[in-house]
Amino acid sequence: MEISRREFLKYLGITTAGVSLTGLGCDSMWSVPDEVFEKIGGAPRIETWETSVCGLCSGGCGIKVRLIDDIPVRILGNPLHAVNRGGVCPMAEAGIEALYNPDRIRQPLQRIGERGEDKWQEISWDEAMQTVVSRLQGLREKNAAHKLAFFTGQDNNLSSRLNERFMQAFGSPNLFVFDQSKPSTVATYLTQGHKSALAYNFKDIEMLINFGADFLDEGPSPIRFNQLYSEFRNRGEGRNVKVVHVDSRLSRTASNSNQWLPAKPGTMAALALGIANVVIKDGNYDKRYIKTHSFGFDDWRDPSGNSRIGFKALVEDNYYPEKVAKITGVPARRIVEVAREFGAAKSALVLAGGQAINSSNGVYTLWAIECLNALKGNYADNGVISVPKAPPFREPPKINVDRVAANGLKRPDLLQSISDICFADDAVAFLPKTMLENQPYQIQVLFLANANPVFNAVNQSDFAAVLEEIPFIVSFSSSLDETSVYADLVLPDHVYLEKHDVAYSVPMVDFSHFGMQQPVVAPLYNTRHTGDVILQIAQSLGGTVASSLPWADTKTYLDDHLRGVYETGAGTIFSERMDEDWLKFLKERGWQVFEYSTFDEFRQVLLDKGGWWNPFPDPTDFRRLVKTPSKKYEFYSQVFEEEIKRHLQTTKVSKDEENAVLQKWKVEARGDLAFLPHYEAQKLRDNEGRFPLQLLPFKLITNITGEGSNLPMLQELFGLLTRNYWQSWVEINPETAHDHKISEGDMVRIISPKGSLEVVARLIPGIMPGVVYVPFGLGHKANGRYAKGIGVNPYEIFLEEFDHLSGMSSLTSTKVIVEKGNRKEMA
Amino acid sequence: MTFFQTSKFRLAWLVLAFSLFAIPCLAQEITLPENPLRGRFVFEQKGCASCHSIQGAGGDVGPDLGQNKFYGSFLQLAGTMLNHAPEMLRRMQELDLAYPEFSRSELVELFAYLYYLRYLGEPGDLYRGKILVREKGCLACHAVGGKGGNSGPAFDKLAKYISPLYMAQALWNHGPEMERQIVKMGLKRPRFEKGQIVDLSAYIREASKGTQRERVYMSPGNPTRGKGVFKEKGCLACHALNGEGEDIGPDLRQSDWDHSVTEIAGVMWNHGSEMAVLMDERDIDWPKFTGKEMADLIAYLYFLGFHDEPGDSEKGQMVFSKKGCVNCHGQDARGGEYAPDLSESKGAASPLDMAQIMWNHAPVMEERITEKVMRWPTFTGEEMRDIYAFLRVLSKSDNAEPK
Repeated sequence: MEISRREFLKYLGITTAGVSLTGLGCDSMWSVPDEVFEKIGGAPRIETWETSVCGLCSGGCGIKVRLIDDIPVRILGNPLHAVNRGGVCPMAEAGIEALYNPDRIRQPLQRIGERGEDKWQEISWDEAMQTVVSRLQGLREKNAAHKLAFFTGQDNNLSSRLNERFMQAFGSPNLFVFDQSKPSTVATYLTQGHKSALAYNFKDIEMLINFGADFLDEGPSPIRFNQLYSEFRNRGEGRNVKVVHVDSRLSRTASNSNQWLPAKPGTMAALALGIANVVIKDGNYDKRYIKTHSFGFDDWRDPSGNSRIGFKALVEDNYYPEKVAKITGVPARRIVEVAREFGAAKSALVLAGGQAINSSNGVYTLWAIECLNALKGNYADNGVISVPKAPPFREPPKINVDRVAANGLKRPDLLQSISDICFADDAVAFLPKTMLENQPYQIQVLFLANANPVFNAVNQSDFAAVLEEIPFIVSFSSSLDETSVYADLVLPDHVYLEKHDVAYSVPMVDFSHFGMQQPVVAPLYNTRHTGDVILQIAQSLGGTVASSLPWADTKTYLDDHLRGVYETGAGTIFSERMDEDWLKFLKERGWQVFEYSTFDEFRQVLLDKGGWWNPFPDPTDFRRLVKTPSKKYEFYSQVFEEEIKRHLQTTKVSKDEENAVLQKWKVEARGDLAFLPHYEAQKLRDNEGRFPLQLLPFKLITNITGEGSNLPMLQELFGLLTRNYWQSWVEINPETAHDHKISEGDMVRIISPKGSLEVVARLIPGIMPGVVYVPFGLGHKANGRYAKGIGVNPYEIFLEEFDHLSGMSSLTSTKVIVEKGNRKEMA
Repeated sequence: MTFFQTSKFRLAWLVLAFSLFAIPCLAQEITLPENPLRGRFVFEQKGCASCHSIQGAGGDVGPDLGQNKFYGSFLQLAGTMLNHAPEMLRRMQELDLAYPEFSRSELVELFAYLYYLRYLGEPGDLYRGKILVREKGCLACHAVGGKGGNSGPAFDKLAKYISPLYMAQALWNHGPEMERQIVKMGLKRPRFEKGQIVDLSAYIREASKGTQRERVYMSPGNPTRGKGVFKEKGCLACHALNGEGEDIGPDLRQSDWDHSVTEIAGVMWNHGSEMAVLMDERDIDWPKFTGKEMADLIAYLYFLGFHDEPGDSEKGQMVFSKKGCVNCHGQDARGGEYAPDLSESKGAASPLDMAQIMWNHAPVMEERITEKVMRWPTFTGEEMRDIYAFLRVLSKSDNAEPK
């Protein structure tokens, strides 16, 4: 039954909440099953609360769900959760609308129209499962297990590991993760030889320089960062953290910093090296760390006796403040001031994100920024940077691989054949390139779970073209998003409030932790946990696939992992105000915080409290972790040199060969410079001046992933700060707007060489001149009634430019022209 | 004004009332906490951790509350805290910190937590443990790391138990059996003093064979549940408490409980032989405990020391006068220019109420005392008890006063 939210809450006798949100215009239509109404009829209105984890982004926030007569009505933060400490963002609060969303898929669907036409018929689970199993059996019979591909979304939960396990046992190397929040590790690999995601301890830092990361809106875990930024400013007189934010937009993170340094897009590498220049000249760096644990800081001689350039000389000669000021637009005086403060701080940290990573020179930019952390000795044992361990889950039994699976796994995955990307492992944006050419082979069956590249990839039309060609596609989505509409079968997943999972290792969090996701309500429709479906498919396939996934259901699978945590006795279940010292005090004396003496009791307390963490600082031994040829942090990357050798499959590389490879990877520098962090102007198409402005996207906490667009409350809150609801807009500096004869509130057309968007103009001084920003999140062509046709998707007009070292899409390489439009015409 | 309304009459009546009630008042028992560790949350929430440390961990502005001087009955702890209130107020003003006020439950949780710290014990020392294994003759019967006798179970099995109480529990439960074996082998029954069980346990974990991944910790005892265990296991057959049970064994209220749970378990073990004889004589079965039961029971016994002995109202009146309370509250405690009438104070309801009111009003009291250039009164635990007894009488006498 479709019913307005206010009416529904009225039925439950909690009209106050209903009215307050209705005041915000959020009186959306909810779809509430008749059984729920029957239940409401004679129920006594008993209030209960259940803990779980929000599943709407990869932030893994702990939530508490309010239930009236076992019917979920409200979501708040779980104050015991170690990551979000009771805070939640609007997305989490809107989770109730995901549950009662009228556009949820309620039954398995089979395509009856053309691909992407969005015409379906309902089928039974048995029929659907039979079809899938039969297709997969067909692949294995033809010894073509590798022709199954799996596109998944966030992978920091245990059910994702189940997908990986299934693919291994089945025999396909083609599982690809589409997670926008996944941090890039290429720069870390070049300097340290490992790809571990880094985490940060802010406890004792005095200064933070943030290069472009809009942590307060985009995260990862924006709530944690909102709390951290608040704490930075409230430590007490003389103890507050000085935060300097570098970006071309005064984002919410920038405005919550002490200082904003507006720098031209794509120039952050130069700014970082400019800061390094002053720090080195002043001698304000960790000399002991540099001398003992780094390589390539000073000029050096190779084994042949040739003199090679070191980082110090490079920076001193090329990145003096006046020169950097010309590149970045940041005055030299301010560069010197920030550098001096950074150098003088006892403990200072540098972080990067946003455009620092997502640009065509992203790896060199990140590399230059990371060098500042090396100068402060942060890759040593001072505990500022660490690589936190995963929770001590019990390792599942070894995967059995039969002949067919072994053959499949021997085949290269779809990205291995890409040679114009240096590190292609995570370069999912390049999948269309190989898949459209059927290289190295054609995918026959594709599984889709929480991945929507037809909406959130820059080359979304290429992904759509790929999907057109795949013979059989199965989507596990709970709604018909832009990618799922290309499926042949949709096997709808529960929404997160209806299912078990374990969310762990939120990026950048420096302690080991996980949150317990549990069904707070029985599934409203005939949907199934994707984990259960995968397990059932495995059982139907039989043989080693079945024996490798022996669990009856996802809950049993999760419990098996959790037993490891119970057995090791490590860490503690979330509790009120548990600090490290106190937990250490108890553990050293053999005490645990809660009462349990069996696994079942332990699990119950876990569910009651919402999760587990190990707050003990786990200092990372970087000397063991660093895997470079020099066994040290490499300012001069020998890892990169090795990579070129590996690429050419030789032990010795001539200069010509080296240059050819660098050219292929779109690196402009040659010689030693290519192996040192440096600034390279980013690749901008159309430099003739026809498109004078640079277009960049930004994300909002009200719809970080873009997947919340079908939740009316999020549409209502979307542009809360600029008061743009249910619509997109473009942010322009008033000077730029004046030059283009645009006034506040005008409808404008943003034209790139690829297409155009029509939006309302907002004149905001916190945007650098010459740059325009459009929020990401809206502009869906599918995904439900509240999402479809609302706002614009800036990615539609982005040019397909990449960082050819990491394979990541560049979101700063598109130039546009903004024209004042005719409001009537546009309407 | 009639004679009955004069202050002389009031004073005379007060004297009479005291003579009637100048018998020791039975202090109201503090309800046993179910989870004494909850007080840690109060400790952190109220910002105590900003200034105070516990065994070296925490702030360094105020003293370490893990020290022995912060052990004592409820009113002793209340007195210790109040005595330092002016100094605390001054330091908190310097550091721009807010003075923490406590609700009744918060105050009792905080005190119970501070009181409970000693119960939790100290980490073991494996080097001392190594020496003890030899000295106590454990290896004559038990093997650890492949070395030792085999008449008793190998200690390696205990390696997964991180809490030393598990060892104490095993010792207790197998006491009679061990006793027989010790006699049979002509060995000396080991006695365990202070932290020796903890040290032994630490050594066993380190020296045991294999790399067991499993680690078993224990939940700290629940005194409320421990009271039930005390009854269920038949302890009342020998120990009298609160007017119940036999007085064959020692009076547990008089025992010194200022020790860790493992030390108390050690004391129990040390008296095991005598107890066994007495129990045999009375045909009482040797009680066996699960780890949890043992933790709960000892927590209950440990908390016997948390309750205050009844105070003496006469002495309380003298303390009231000697400490200068009369300067503000008036000679007859019926209120003065600066402070309220104590006969109407809610503080008389229980020691907890008195401590809460005194603490929460400390900033006002400090202001008044400073204005009058007086000294801040300090109280011993005994004085606090007596003051409470005085308050009770005052409150009762007021109720009895003819209108």
